[in-house]
Amino acid sequence: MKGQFETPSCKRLYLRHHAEQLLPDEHRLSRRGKEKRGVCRINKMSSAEPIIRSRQTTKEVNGISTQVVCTEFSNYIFIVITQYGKIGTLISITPDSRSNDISTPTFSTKVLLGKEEALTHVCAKNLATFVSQEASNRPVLLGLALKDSSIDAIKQIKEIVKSCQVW
Amino acid sequence: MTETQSVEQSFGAISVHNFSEKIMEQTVHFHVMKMSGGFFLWVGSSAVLSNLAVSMSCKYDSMPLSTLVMGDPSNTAPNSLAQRLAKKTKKQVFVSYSLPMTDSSHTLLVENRIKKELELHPEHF
Repeated sequence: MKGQFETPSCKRLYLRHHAEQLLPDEHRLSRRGKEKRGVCRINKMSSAEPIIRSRQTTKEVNGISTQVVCTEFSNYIFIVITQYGKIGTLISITPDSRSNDISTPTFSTKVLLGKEEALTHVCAKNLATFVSQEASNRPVLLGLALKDSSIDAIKQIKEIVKSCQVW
Repeated sequence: MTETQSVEQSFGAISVHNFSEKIMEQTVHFHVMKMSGGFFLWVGSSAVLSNLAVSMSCKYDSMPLSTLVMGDPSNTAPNSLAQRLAKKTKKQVFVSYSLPMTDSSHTLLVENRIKKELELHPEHF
């Protein structure tokens, strides 16, 4: 900026008048009202690493395209298994508290959204129990939308879920 | 191509999209899973899933219906966000609003950030 101003007082005057523009963005924004600051701040993009880890795959099961997406949360494992491209029936699979370590672990299934059917509970338990056990007893939230719920299909789907391990 | 195959291809693959933003000195993370006819959105500052609301439009009411399927029913944040996003996108919306802070000014900023992402990257929703 040297040489741009005729006298030092001229420079001081310029700086005082243009202080707003010379300040970095954050400072300038903080000079405005509190509500306004928030609105301006969100215009700034940040690129922090995602804290949610997920893995997905698409495979054919008995000729039907099957998508599996596994997402890890600290208190839940979220799994979507779909042959319709939708979440479908939403089920939670929760390990029951055990009185001692000798008894075999049991799990409770609850349909959170969708049709309450015995088969849904069977499929959910079959598909998600091992996930919960491997994920240090975290409950599993399962979205299930299957066209084929045969034992054979469930066995194959289980293998796909294993290939999307995030826990 | 057989009948079933053409049906298979009528919906695209599920896509996952992550973004984050510093809002009021707190980094807020967003995780979107796009599905056929709807999406799942998780909002949080740490990797917890503390609630889940579902909302979708209904032809008898101008406001979409919304219900909480998981979490504390006294926390209205997931329901109201799901409802507003369902209205805006005309899709079935799953929302998990897992932020510890739920004061209205903060929620508004979070919602504005989501709306901005909806405008910038509609393909992810």
